[in-house]
Amino acid sequence: MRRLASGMAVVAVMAAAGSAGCAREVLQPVAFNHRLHADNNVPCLTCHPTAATGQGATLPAVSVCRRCHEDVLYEAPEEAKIRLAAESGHALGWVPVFALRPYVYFSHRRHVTLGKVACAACHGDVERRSTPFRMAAGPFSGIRGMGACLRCHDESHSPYAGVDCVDCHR
Amino acid sequence: MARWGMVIDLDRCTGCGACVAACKVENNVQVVSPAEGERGRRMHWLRLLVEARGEYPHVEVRIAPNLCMMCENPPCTKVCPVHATYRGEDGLVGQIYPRCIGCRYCMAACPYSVKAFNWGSPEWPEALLSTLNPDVSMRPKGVVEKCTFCYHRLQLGREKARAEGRPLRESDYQPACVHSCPADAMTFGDLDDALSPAAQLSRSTRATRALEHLGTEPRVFYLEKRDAPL
Ligand code: HEC
Ligand code: HEC
Ligand code: HEC
Ligand code: HEC
Ligand code: HEC
Repeated sequence: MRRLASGMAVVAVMAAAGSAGCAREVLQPVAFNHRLHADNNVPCLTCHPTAATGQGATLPAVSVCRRCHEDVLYEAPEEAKIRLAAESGHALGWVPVFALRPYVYFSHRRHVTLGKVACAACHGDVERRSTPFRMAAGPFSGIRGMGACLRCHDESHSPYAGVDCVDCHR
Repeated sequence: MARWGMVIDLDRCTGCGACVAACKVENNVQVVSPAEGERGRRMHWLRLLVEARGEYPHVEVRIAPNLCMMCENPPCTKVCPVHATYRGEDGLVGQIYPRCIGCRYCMAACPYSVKAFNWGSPEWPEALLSTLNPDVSMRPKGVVEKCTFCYHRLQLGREKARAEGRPLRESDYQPACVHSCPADAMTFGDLDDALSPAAQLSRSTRATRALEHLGTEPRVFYLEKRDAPL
């Protein structure tokens, strides 16, 4: 906590003012079921490959789904949407839920590959979710979200996890 | 920890402006219309100061790139009422845009006039949108901006070094202006590392710092032939 003291006192005032980003309910194009895929041992990185190698984790294109859903695996109307999208050439149009404002620098590779932080530490128990993500402006938005980043950085005692403002703000 | 600093050799600088252009592109520095520019609203993170000395026909023109001096004793941070500009852990002066309230005290306090106020929301011509650098945020209207020594390049360099399991090297982190200089007039590195070219040049007898008497301890050094008046 010591490292944080000076700057954070000022910021805390803003938190009290309740400036957390407001959440917005979104509807995903397909009722995607993470749990079903996890139970079938599909690794996270099949669909979010850049989570290990890049800044953003990205949401999968139809072509990724088609690797397994070329043929009918499961007679479900939701699955049919994949074929329809692939045939019409349209993107599925996933709505990002976790989205930081552009003034924050965040790198998945830094956390996942170098810091060995589990996806669940930030995204919760995704492999047990049977419904798609619904709330735009995730837990890292607004000044309270910044608190969540800082808390882990402060507690992780990693020499690489900074709490200096410029580490995250660009 | 490295003490990042820059040395600019004014005897080598040709005033070509490559650094100015590189800085604008690298940092998404707003393009201001000529009318706004006339009103003193030009946006710059790095500009060339041109000074003519002597009397005709013995005129000498001195051109000096002017950017944030990353003072070790910065006057700007002391006047910020909201802690938006401050000296970070590695000694670089940061400007945290979401925190800035646009009061401009820091601009008034900066003896080098390197900070600029953002009078309008950034508007980009269609053709330039694809050239924006995703590693640097767009500043909203109403905040004070300044050079960061391309801090994002330090972040990317750190990540690269970490991924390769080795310490950060000077070549991992070079600001865009230094990178672009065709005359090799700019040298950037760790001023505390005796082997670093920047450190060596900063100790040269030709080295001076701008307005040194103010005690701001800038981290930007200028090299100039010694007979020139300071
Ligand atoms: C690595 C192979 C693989 C990939 C890639 C994959 N799936 Fe699946 N999918 C499966 C398996 C296995 C099942 C379950 C089949 C079963 O249990 O009968 C399934 C089932 C489904 C179902 C039907 C179950 C339900 O909830 O009604 C939907 C819808 C679905 N997947 C959507 C997608 C989408 C959208 C993508 C692309 C983002 C995708 N899948 C990518 C393997 C995959
Ligand atoms: C340290 C916290 C953290 C960890 C660990 C983490 N994420 Fe994220 N994730 C985020 C944040 C923050 C965002 C929002 C990023 C943005 O807007 O730039 C995000 C965004 C995403 C997105 C939305 C698409 C995108 O790129 O913005 C996906 C998908 C995602 N993460 C998947 C993963 C997966 C899979 C893992 C594990 C391999 C993982 N994340 C690990 C914090 C984390
Ligand atoms: C570990 C990363 C991290 C550090 C260090 C950090 N921030 Fe933040 N900051 C964030 C994130 C994430 C957000 C939320 C962005 C969003 O809403 O998308 C944020 C938001 C903010 C906001 C805007 C809040 C709002 O609701 O509009 C301010 C102001 C701010 N930070 C100031 C600071 C200051 C001052 C410091 C240094 C004392 C600092 N931050 C250090 C990550 C960080
Ligand atoms: C669950 C713990 C955890 C959370 C939550 C977390 N981080 Fe980190 N972060 C780390 C660790 C551990 C490292 C060090 C990684 C390494 O070993 O290189 C790190 C490193 C970083 C770095 C690199 C620091 C530097 O000096 O280069 C940045 C930037 C960063 N995190 C930003 C964020 C932001 C922004 C958020 C919130 C959206 C966040 N982190 C949330 C654990 C976390
Ligand atoms: C078969 C492909 C697939 C697999 C495997 C997969 N995901 Fe996803 N993921 C998606 C799709 C499609 C979405 C968008 C729909 C939704 O919100 O559920 C998504 C959304 C997310 C999001 C929300 C991102 C945002 O901002 O909207 C997170 C976080 C995430 N996944 C994490 C994970 C983690 C962690 C794992 C491993 C346990 C994983 N995913 C495995 C396809 C997949």
